[in-house]
Amino acid sequence: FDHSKAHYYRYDEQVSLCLERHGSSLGKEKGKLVLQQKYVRCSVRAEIRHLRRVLCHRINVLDQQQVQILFDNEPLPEHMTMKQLWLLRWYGKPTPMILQYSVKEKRGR
Amino acid sequence: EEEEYDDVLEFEFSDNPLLPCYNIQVSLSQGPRNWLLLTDVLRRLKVSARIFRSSFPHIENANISEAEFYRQASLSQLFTYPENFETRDIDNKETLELVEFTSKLQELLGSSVTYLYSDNEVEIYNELLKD
Repeated sequence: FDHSKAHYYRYDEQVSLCLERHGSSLGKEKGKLVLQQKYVRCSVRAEIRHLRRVLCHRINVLDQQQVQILFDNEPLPEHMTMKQLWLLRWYGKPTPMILQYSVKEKRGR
Repeated sequence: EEEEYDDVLEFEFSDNPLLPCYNIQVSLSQGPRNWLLLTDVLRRLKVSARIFRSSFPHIENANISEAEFYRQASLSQLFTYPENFETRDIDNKETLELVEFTSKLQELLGSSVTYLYSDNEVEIYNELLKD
C-alpha cells in the first residue's frame, strides 16, 4: 500500500485530553479567556508547544508567553510529546488526560 | 472531497467527552488508520445503523473480528479496556463494525478542528487555521 503517507500525523494513534482553566478566571475577562470546547484530541506525537500554539489561537491570545500548559499545577516542557506525558503522568488512568492552562494577565504599560 | 493536506497536525475540539478512537489496520492493503466503533457513533448521534449508512454513504466503514480488534487495540500503551470488561468475553465469531475517523465524522459529531502545519526544523508555523 502507499507507504509514502503512512507517517502522517493523521494516521497516528490519537490521545484524548481535557483542558481545564487553571485558577478561577478573574471578573472582567471571565468568558473571554476560557476555552469553550475543552475536550481535545490530537496525535500522540503532538508536543506541548503545538498544543499551546493552538490553544492561544482558540482563546484569542496573541502573545504565547501569556499562556502555559500545566499538569498538577506544574508547567510542562515545550518539547514533551503527548505520549511521553501520558506514560509519565497518566499511565493506567482512564481517558481523557486532564491538563490545565493558565493565562497570565498582560501587565498594562 | 477532503482536501489533501500534506502532513498537518490536527487538533479536534469538542464540548462533549470524545468518543474513543482506535488505531487499527483492517486490511493488509492499507496501513493502520484511526477508527471509531459504529455502536459508539450511533449512540452519540441517536440514529439507527440503516439511517446512518444511507445518510452518510461515503463515510468508510470496515468489519473486523472482535478478537483481532482487541488484539490490535491492546497493543497500545495508552489503551485501557472499557470498564467491567472481561477479556474472556471476547468472542471470536463476533465481528465489530468500525467507522473511519475523518474530519467529516468529527464535524458530524459536533467537533471543530484546528489544523496546524508545523515545520519541525524551523520554529515558525504556517497556520492553516481552519475551524
